[in-house]
Amino acid sequence: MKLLNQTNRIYLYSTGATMLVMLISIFFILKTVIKEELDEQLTQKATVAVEILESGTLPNDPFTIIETVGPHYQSPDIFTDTLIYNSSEGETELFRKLVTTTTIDQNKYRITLLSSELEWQDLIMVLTIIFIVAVLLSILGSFRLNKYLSSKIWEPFFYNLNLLKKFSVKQPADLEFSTSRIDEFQQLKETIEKLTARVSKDYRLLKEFTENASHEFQTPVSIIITKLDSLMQQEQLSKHDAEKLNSIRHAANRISRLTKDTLLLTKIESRQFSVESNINLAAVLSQQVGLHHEIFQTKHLNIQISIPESFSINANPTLLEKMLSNLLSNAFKHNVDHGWIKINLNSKKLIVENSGPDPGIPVNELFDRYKKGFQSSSSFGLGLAIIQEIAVFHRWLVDYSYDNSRHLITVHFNI
Amino acid sequence: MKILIIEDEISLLEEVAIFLRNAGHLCECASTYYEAEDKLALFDYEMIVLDITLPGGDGLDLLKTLKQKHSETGIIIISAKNSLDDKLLGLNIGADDYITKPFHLSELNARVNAVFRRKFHKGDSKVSIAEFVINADAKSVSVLGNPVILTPREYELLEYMTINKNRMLSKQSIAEHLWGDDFDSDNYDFLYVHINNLRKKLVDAGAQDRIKSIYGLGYRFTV
Repeated sequence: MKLLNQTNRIYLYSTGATMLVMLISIFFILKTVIKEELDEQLTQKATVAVEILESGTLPNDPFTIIETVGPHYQSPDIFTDTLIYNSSEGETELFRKLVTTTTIDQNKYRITLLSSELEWQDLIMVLTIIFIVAVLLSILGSFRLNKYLSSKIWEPFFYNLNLLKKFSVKQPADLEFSTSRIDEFQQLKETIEKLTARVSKDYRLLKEFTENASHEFQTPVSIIITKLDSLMQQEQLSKHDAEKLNSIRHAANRISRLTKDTLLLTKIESRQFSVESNINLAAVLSQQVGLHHEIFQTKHLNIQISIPESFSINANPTLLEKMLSNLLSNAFKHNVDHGWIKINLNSKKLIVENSGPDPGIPVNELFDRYKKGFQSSSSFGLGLAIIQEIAVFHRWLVDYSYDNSRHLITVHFNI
Repeated sequence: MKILIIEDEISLLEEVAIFLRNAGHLCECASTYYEAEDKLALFDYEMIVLDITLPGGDGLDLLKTLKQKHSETGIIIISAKNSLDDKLLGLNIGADDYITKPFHLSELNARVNAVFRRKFHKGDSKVSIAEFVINADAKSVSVLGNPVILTPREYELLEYMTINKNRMLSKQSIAEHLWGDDFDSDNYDFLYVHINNLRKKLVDAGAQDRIKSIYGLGYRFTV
């Protein structure tokens, strides 16, 4: 729920409750005040009636009733509410009634005075309505005001929030956060600025470290490989030593390839590649298939290829080549003797299918770095991660599935 | 060929120098920017093998000054950075080739030879080795005067082996030379077929069987 709605809701509930209490109180206060006023009027009317009686006439007022009572009649002054039927209007009306007694020249009179409460009731009604309308208007007004104010006051907040949503450590852009005169927002802005700057810096340092470490690895590996090469040149090399040297060189090659692949991943992530238009994917794919032809033969694989004559795409040629090469070498590595590979390219997607054993780990983990399904294989588990990163770089989508001894990788180009 | 090798890693420098000397070149070494600067000021070289990450200065700067003074010198850059930007920059400034660490010495030798041929032997590029005559421009081979028809791959293979004659070439080095640097495989058995086809064609044309397999490590072309 939005903050504004939340505060508005609380405000509405509390205002509503307060106003209701106030309305009820005002109603009763008004009623009491009016009763007192009516009673006072009736008392005055009674005094006037007594004065008229003393002058020997009867008051000419339908709401003043004079009755003669016995000398022993005793009654205090009583104020009551009473309903009287009004025949002209055909309805009962509420009246305030005062019954009092007075003695004039030894004659005792009971005077009953009536005063209609109708107009007062109307007054209360009108006042109540005015009050309710005023309250509603003020609530509505404050809602509007609140909305207007919050759109003004919160503007820098939402602006900064949108900037933050777009923020990515992988594509650090200079974020110009909006300033605010409100202390809290200003503090938030400063904190966010510091935080994003630090995150970007940390990410950059990590990336630089990975790059530098990968570069630094290559020189010692070069020394190992060249020294091994010169050792291998010896004429009197025994078969036993040759095998040992060979496995050392295999290990050195793995280090080298691992650092190259790690470096490549870092570079793709930091967008150090540019996209060129109209790269003929069909031609690059055919060329890659040609390059892998000899290696496919070692497992006697049956290759079925369906590639259109020409299919152009916007891509980085180096990365595209790397992705295709990885796809093909995966299809080879995770294959069986006398297995098959099917390659199908159309304008929407590239499908590489191959026979092979179960990878043994969940499909969604296969694209994670250094995760390898075939624990015995000498790959580092970076092949699929690189394919994935290259696809992400080009805004393509890669999916992988395995069923019935069949691996299937699809690269969707138009998403 | 007179070659200056500029590389800050002494151990690697020595190995490259020994290798290129054995391949019949005259080699001098420099391990710092200043040493390289001094040698370049005093002597002329036909070929320079340059590591661009040098202590004391940027190897690319060295390349710039070098190109202004000795524009005929062939230059091969060695870099730990397998970066396209560095590669393009180096080639734009005037390097003739670019090789990334780690590299095979035999590959470096092949590159040195190719650059040398491009720069200094315009027109005639025939090389005679034992009973072979190899024409690098026409990419053709003849044995005792009879042309041998080779596939492009077989030609590349023979050329690589003759450039690095009498040297054991690892299978990986051969595979990377023929199929490219990024060619990634644990298994180089497929080379066997190519080697065998080549050997058969050469022997059928009357050549000696000079390609020897070394314990499954690789092959040597002996002359």
